[in-house]
Amino acid sequence: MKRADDMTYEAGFIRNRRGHALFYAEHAPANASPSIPRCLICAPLLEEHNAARGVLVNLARALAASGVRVMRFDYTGHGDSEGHTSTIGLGEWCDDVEDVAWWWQSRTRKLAAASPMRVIGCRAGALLAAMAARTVGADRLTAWCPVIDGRTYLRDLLRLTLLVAPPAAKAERTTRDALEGRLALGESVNVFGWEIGPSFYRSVVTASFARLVEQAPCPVEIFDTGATGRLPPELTALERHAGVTVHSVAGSTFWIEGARTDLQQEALVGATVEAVAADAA
Amino acid sequence: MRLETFTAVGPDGFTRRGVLTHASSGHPKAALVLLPAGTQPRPGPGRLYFDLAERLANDGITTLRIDALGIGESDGTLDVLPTFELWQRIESGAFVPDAILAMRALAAQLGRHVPIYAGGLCGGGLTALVAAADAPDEVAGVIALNIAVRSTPRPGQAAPAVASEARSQIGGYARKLLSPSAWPRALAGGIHLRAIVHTAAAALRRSNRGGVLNPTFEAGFDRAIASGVRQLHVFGGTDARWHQFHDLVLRPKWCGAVDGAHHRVRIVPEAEHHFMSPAWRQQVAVWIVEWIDDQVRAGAAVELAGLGTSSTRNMADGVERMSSGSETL
Repeated sequence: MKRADDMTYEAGFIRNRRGHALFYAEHAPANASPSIPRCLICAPLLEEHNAARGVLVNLARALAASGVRVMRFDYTGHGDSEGHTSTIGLGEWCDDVEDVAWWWQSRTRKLAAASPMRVIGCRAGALLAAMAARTVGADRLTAWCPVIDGRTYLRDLLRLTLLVAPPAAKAERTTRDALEGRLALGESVNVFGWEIGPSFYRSVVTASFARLVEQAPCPVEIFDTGATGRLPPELTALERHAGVTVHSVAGSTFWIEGARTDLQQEALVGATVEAVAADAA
Repeated sequence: MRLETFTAVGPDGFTRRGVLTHASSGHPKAALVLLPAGTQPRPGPGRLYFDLAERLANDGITTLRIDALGIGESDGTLDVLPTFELWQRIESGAFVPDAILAMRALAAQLGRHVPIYAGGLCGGGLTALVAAADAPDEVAGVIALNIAVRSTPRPGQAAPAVASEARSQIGGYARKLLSPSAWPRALAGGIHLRAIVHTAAAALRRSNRGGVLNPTFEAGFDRAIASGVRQLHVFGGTDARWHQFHDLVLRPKWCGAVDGAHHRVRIVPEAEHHFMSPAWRQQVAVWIVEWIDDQVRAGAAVELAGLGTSSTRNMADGVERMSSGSETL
């Protein structure tokens, strides 16, 4: 294993607008010049946040090794950050993206005007990245395996919940429709240890990555590992918009703990590092 | 809640990183190091570790959640491997050196007067136990949640259920077979009758022919007992690991007693492997606090008896010395 003497790593906590401590980690080349490009990474949500963490750390390290300053952080109620997920939804997490971006820009004020910032969003993080792109002044938006349709994403979460439910819960023969009904009525549902409530439900169920891409203030680059074996047609259809490119890349569903653990995702990380380098050139 | 980043550099020069959740009072009565559950980063599955740390902070316990090398924020990255192989590496003690490193670094930060406990879920519990066995002077006790006592088998080679696990499954099968809709499905191959027969056979067996302890666990457990390491074990009642611990450890090694001089075992009846529900997590936190309070009181009692140690780990020795002291008098 190589020690990263040529890179710096700084981690700590900042306060978001609601007073919650948010964990952040900045990866940068040692002795970085002011004009190097910057990347802000928006992780997935809920348990996908945990599973994907190692991959996003490796992405940040690879970008830093290629000369990019990178900011990662944990949303409210995720990772090492304070707060809980039961009362919040996409709007509050989009606020977190903004708060971190503005804090990062203010602490590197002399750098902010000089260097472009790409926002990279993974899975539901791609929704948040797209929602925040305009207000944080993103020059580029990159989406990794984006959540395309919020309701489908929600239904998949509920299906997994039922699969791993303990015997007593399974004996109740709860269905996805019943769980969704509870959310619609304002109740909370436990999804693999994460309490989600009506704010999450209302904001996710109507979320559309396509609609966000249409309104994106900057070029959008989408990388998908083809978890279903091929690029979803909803993604390829987005290429009709100017400034949107879609790439199929080898990889796995790394946001779910599976039979094989690959935190390196060499092809996906490599393609992203190349794209950032191409921009900088 | 006061959160602080934490680092420990190993003899290899690589950095292990964690987060401290400080006791709300500012003066911890104890500290707990939570070790990785499998290959999960430090918040834990479903943020179990973060939730526990938050609850424990309110009761005067500082928690360190640490990423082992290759996981989360720590240096390095895991090899690309089948997940079961990574789990087997952990079950063979791969994270034990990092656990001991973290405990020593935490002790250096908090001071030797704060008793430090090692703990974790599943493989994290195993790491804690083996680390305590290897370094009994560094730890006041072990807190294991759904500890893994058997090795993860290769896919397709699942070890047979232990007897108590099989008996708990038979009830569910019986209910299914009594259901009117079950028999058409059985005839159409929708129910695996062979699996049911095997489970019934396991349930009726008096001995656990299929139950073999992970050698790393067994050696660590025996050494920890010999060193007087205190242990709190908490299980989800529906988790297979409870049944495995019950049949392969609690009955043969502790004669089925959930409370002993050196151990305590508690079960949350409806909980599964990750203690997903907030109520279950609250119960786990309550038991951890109660047990640590008992250890701290016992350690204070030993100190008051003038046996010169505030280490709760030495309680057993202290009791023996007290007896021999009174005989001498």
